[in-house]
Amino acid sequence: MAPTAASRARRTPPSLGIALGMVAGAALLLAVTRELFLLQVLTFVFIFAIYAQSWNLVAHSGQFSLGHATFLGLGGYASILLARNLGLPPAVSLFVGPLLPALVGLGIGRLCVRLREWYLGMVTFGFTAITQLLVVEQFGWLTNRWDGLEAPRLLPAGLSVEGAAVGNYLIGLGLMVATYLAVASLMRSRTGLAFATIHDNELVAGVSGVDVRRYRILAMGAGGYLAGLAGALNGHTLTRHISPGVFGIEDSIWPLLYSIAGGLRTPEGPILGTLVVRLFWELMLRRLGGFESLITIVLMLAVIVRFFPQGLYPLVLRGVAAVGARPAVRR
Amino acid sequence: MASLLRGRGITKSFGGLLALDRVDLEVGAGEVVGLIGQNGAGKTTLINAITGVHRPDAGSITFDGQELTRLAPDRIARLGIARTFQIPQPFPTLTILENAMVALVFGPRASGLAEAEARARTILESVGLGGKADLPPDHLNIVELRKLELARALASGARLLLLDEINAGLTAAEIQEAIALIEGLRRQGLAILMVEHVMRVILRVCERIIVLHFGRKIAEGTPREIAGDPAVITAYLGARRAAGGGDRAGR
Ligand SMILES: Nc1ncnc2c1ncn2[C@@H]1O[C@H](COP(=O)(O)OP(=O)(O)OP(=O)(O)O)[C@@H](O)[C@H]1O
Ligand SMILES: [Mg+2]
Repeated sequence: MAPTAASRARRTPPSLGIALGMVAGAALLLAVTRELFLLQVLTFVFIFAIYAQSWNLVAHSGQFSLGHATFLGLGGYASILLARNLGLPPAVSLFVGPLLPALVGLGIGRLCVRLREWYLGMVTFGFTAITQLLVVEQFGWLTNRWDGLEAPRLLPAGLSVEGAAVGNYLIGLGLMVATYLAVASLMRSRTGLAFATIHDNELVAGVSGVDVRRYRILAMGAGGYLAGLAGALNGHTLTRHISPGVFGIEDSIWPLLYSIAGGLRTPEGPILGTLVVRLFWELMLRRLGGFESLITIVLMLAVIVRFFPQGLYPLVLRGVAAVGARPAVRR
Repeated sequence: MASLLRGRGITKSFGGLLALDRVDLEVGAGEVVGLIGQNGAGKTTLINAITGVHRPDAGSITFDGQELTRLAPDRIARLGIARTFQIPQPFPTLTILENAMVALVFGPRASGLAEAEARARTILESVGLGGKADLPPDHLNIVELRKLELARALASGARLLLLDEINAGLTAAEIQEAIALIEGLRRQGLAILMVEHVMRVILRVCERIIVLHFGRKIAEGTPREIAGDPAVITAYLGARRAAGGGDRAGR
């Protein structure tokens, strides 16, 4: 067996090259087409790649979250409320709002510090339901209950439809690439090494000196921030509205599918997975109807897991290496 | 000799089973102490109690004067205690090199990543795993995995090593190497508490031997005293001879 994807993620340096490649590819596409639907789908991919990146980072520290929608939704609500009620520009609230889910992440991480795998999954899942209840009932006066809130747009008013679509596309791309670079360097750092040891064996990590509690809580906090950023970005650009539906089970499952499809515990995997799964879904399956589409997605995932247990990203690496364009790829 | 590790009345039970029964022990700075006893005597449990893996029900354990029994395992490790596991437990998704780096980075030395990498390579060379540094640990056989356990413990820069049967299954030549290695560590001033079934190693390198029997310390003394102690012969050495023991091969 070649070194695992996770270990490669800590050692292959050229994340800057990959980032530039993503920017170049996205810019090229923009030069070729302004097809609105495609731009919107890709903007969605960028935003939800940030979300998947968050889930994957938490998974890299050995924690299995089934409640990521908590962070997604809280980030959206916090940013939208800051913009609506306190008059913060959305370009600011977008980054301040996710501090709320970051705090909630730290809290959940602290509470669940002894739980693993499905136990952790079930408890985090439960937190999403509790959060939804709080948002609708306790804070209903603030959140307008089930009707939800209009979100101020991130872009200046008065842009053409095409201008707005291109603007959102570029903002999504920029933040996705920034998140990618941040997560890639985190994974290669001392903190990333700590996460990986906890993922592999908490007991041995502890007796080797790794402060398991601290790093687990930190991972949840960082995950909370990034997921919240995705939620806020989604609200201010694509949906322009938020409602308690955001705390649904599907939104907690999607990032798991994206990450597994692309390649768990690598910073590239969530991006690739979101792109592939989402394009497949939007461009082909939409027309089938929800149920059939869901079945197809699950089948697709089963095939990927069966034949490419490390996801699609190693496949891409192999392809690139075969073409010889990047002799630096270590395998 | 000033005592580095001091245990008083260490007691631990699992359900109704008394795995450690008021055990006292001392390991001096730079001293090599052997820990022997039959299967299930409580040797691994004692190491677990010292390293914070299991909290003792009663008793006290101090390291350099500091009480350990209420500390988390990572705090204890950073104070300068490293251990190996009887059943090797590598980090499966890290490379062998990274496995050896972990204790350097997070242990008492707290090295940076680059420095840790260089040192870890040297340490892997010294235990004979240098050529496999960049592979994942599933490329190692059981003897090599024990060497990786040892490399990890050595890398930490700890002052006290707790070694749990790292020499099981070695050939005669490898046992000679192991003895040389441990004597080298002793010369560097490391204190070692070693659980070992290979009597040749124990008798050769230990200044003092502690014998556990059903969770109780039944004897303690120099190798010579232990080898001649009637209680030990009945409880341990005799039992092993009767069972066709001697230097037991790997389990
Ligand atoms: N986590 C645990 N839960 C329950 N019982 C345990 C646990 N750990 C150890 N024991 C029991 O405690 C006793 C002492 O076990 P321990 O592993 O310390 O023995 P040992 O001296 O290391 O034996 P061996 O030579 O086989 O490694 C045994 O009866 C064992 O079954
Ligand atoms: Mg044992």
